[in-house]
Amino acid sequence: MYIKREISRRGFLFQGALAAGALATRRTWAQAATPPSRTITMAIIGAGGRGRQMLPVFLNQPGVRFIAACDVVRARREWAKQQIDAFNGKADCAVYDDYRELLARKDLDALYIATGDRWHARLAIAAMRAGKDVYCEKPISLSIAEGEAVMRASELYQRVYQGGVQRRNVGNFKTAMKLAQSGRLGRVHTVHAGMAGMGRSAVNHYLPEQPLPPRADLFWDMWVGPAPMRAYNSDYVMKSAWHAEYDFHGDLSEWGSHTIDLCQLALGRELTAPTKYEPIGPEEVRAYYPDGVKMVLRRKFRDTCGIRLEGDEGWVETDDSGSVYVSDPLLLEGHTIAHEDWCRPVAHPAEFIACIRSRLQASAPADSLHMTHVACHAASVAYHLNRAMDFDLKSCAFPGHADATKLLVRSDRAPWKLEG
Amino acid sequence: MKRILTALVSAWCVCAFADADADLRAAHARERAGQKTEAAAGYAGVYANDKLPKHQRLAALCGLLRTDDARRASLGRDALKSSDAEWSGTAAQAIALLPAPALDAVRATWLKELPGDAQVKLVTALAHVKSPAAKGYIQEILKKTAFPAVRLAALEGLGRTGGADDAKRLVIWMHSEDPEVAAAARRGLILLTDARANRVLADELKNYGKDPAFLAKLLDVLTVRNPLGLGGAIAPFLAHADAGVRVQAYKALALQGMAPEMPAVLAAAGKATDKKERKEARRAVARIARRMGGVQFKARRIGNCRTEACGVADFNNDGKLDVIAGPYLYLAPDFKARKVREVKSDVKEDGKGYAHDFMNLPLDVNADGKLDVVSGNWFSKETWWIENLLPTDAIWTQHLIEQTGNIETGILVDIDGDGKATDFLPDTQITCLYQLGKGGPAPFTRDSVSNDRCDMGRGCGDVNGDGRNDVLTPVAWYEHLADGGWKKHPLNIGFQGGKLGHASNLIVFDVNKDGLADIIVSSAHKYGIFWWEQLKERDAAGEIQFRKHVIDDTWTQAHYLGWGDIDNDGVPEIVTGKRFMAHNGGDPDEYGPLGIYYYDFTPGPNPVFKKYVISYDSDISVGLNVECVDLDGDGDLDLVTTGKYGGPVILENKLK
Repeated sequence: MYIKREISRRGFLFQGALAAGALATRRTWAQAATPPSRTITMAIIGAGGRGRQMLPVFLNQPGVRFIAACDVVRARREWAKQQIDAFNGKADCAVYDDYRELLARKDLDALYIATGDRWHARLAIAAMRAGKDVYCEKPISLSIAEGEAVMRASELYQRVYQGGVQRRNVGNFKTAMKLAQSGRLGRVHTVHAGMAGMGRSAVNHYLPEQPLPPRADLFWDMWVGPAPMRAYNSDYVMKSAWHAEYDFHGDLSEWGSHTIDLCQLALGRELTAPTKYEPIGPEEVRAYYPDGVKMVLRRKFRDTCGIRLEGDEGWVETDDSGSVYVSDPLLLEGHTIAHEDWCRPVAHPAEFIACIRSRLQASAPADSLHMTHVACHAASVAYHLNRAMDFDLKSCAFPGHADATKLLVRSDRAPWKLEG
Repeated sequence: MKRILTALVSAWCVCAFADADADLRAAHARERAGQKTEAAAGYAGVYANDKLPKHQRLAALCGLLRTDDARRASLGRDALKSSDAEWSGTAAQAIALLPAPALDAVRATWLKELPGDAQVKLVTALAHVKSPAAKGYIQEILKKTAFPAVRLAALEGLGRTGGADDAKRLVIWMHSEDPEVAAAARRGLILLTDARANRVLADELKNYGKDPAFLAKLLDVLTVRNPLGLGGAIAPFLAHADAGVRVQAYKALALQGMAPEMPAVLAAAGKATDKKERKEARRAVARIARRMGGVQFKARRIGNCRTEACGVADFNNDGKLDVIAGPYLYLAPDFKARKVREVKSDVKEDGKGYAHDFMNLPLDVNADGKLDVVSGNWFSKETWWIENLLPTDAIWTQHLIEQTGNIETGILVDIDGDGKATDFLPDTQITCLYQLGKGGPAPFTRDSVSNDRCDMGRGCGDVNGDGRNDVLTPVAWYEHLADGGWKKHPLNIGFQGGKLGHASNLIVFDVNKDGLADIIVSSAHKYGIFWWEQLKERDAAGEIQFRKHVIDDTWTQAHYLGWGDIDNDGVPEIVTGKRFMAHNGGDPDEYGPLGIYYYDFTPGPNPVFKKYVISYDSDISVGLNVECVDLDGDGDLDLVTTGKYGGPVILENKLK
């Protein structure tokens, strides 16, 4: 296991208030302690589906200026440049297809990484190595080794890392977690985490080969990245068909990186993971912690990214609809649920920017997310093998199931090797 | 040439950067392997090279802070003092993450050597990290720092990192004369995530009884923390001498109070005179009432007439129930008032005075298929039946029944056991009954049950279980004999402190399910709703005895007891309310807040009556009667009542 630390995630937004409130009355010290609002320069790496949704959110952050866009697909980096130039009122946004050139820029402060899953860990590490702060979309890793490497790099380079689990900062999910943490549900004994298409990327589907576009339009080798090389098909790139490919996608981590994360946070167990995984048919996996607390990974929920937290004295359930369901309306008595768009959230990116200035840890740093992803990867393997297994957290392996442990290791194709 | 030099320098920079990175990673690997000294040496090399980019030197600095025990204090101090915000901020964050032994070792040094702003930065970072080491450091800073800004940051930090055992400390700090310190301590108290802190706070309340201003602040913190379940600890403060404390207690209980606190809240609310306090009291009662899970009602005024009795029946034969009260008829479904009679009235805005209308009993007196109204009142000393002239717009004709003397009110009863309540029992000084259609020239035949004068309050039911309905007064019950006659029996209830006096209607019901009819009754103008248990043993004279049980004696003027199964549990509930200005201010607590309540019980030995609040201090109440009827036909009983506050009022049952 990696370094164990308990870190408070609570209301980082208070932190800004703390700094401001505590210092506002002592001007002389405030000037030295609070950094002036210098402009933070940012770039986007990966301007596909998710990147397009979040770029406007980042652009609109006060005090942020985008200076570059990077994508191996020419059409995408040019689209991003167009957006950025229009926003800045100047046509000076640079474009790159090679992230290494982008990271060499000394005038770049921070990055928003929204590439496909296979690139998240390597890009985050490279960025932190280059002294940049990183907001990296979930999942933070496709393998346990990747997650550990991101954590090591995080600790060594001391950059701000914000994992894209924005639902941690969305009102209805915060309410549900708070209820569980407050003790009002009694002892929380079972948590449920909503899953997207389970098994969708259990195998590789290998679409028919198509003629490779020119290098200037698409750098295919880099697009594939550390995954095993395969024949090109435009659907992988332009229609997100990579979600159905084992090589490119983490299966249960699709929503698990959100829902398992929220469940673990609610239990105060974000630095650990269940140690037993039991697939129950095609739509459910049951996972258990050593003390018997149960986590149910299942498809069926009222809406997307559902979570349900059950205790001896009550339960709470919520999802992307924003509604919070409770066993007793008393549980929500006197409580106002703040509403935030889970898809284009502002609170989570805003917190990232604030942390860039204060250098304090964001609310979703790598080590807080790593074990959730270990659970995702372990659960995926158990699910794919349809086999109930124990999982050892120290060695991150399935004792007595060498074949399953092997499946936890992912491709590390040169020249995009994980060095971390 | 310049270009070549630039290229060479860049290349060298890139190489240097790459080399430094390799050194950092090597040092980190050593650190993770537990080789602190070697790691520190590796970091030191990178740190010392000031030609390297800032972020690499920063990474090295953080590595040194983690591994170099000897230099930690000085490195940390210098870094925290740096005017470069990134430098000092990153160092602060790295320091905050250090384990306890490392932090403890440098604590004393930094407390001495760090200037205020650097300490604030450190405290901020420590507060961000929830580790025992961080908390320990914050506690020490709080004790020893000389800088006010640091103290403020540490107070909030203690809130962020602390547990229940820090609550008491923060309460003491909240007592500070410095308003900023008090405010920071308050914020800290609110931030404490340990739920056990609420219990500590609740216990602290007891220590500040003589400091009302502070007590109110503590109650406010508890309100904001909203713990639920501590209502019992807060309720005693409703009786505090200071109004500010009481207001805070109401606010806290509005959020946290449950059924056990309701009696205390009602008792205190009854004494509230200040407008603000009454408002908070009202709110607390309403919120607790909702939480108690009783039947919820939605009140709706359909008129603004200050009369005190109403009747509910289908007066226009359209299948829907209508309301009659005072001079007006309110026809369903829009319940618009239409005048059908003249009623004398001198009722003023404050409710003093009277309308000459104390009874509205729907009864088809002239057998024309339309329900008429039997009416009467104290002042006119007559009973009338008012002839339904619908569908015309004519004012209804008033026919005299008899000059009965003062009439308080009256109820429809079934005295002949034919299953139809077509007789009426007026509440007048003698005891008599009027039976409809018994023959003779007048529509009603009077049956004099007794000419003995007694207090007001009448009821009808089978007391002795012989299958015939008897008539009751507060002091006697009149056995209905097989030949139609009446035999007077005393109502032996051994009432403490004298007789019951003027009573409400008397309800006959086997409350304790022992096969013997009991009596439910209240004091019409004073305190007390009771049930009188019929005992198996008769007295020496062979008369039935009753034992008095108190249902509720905390409020006055329960002038009428409604009786209907409003929660659909198969057993009727008592529905009643405080009559408004019954005696123009002369009765006990006549100016107290109005309220409508219901009492739910399960028949059986030692029955418990659970009190629910339907409405409180909201300008509506029960006047001389409340009708429990399914007004909207949805399967649950609604309530209709009126009073000198201006009505009628329909209370729609929200069960269905």
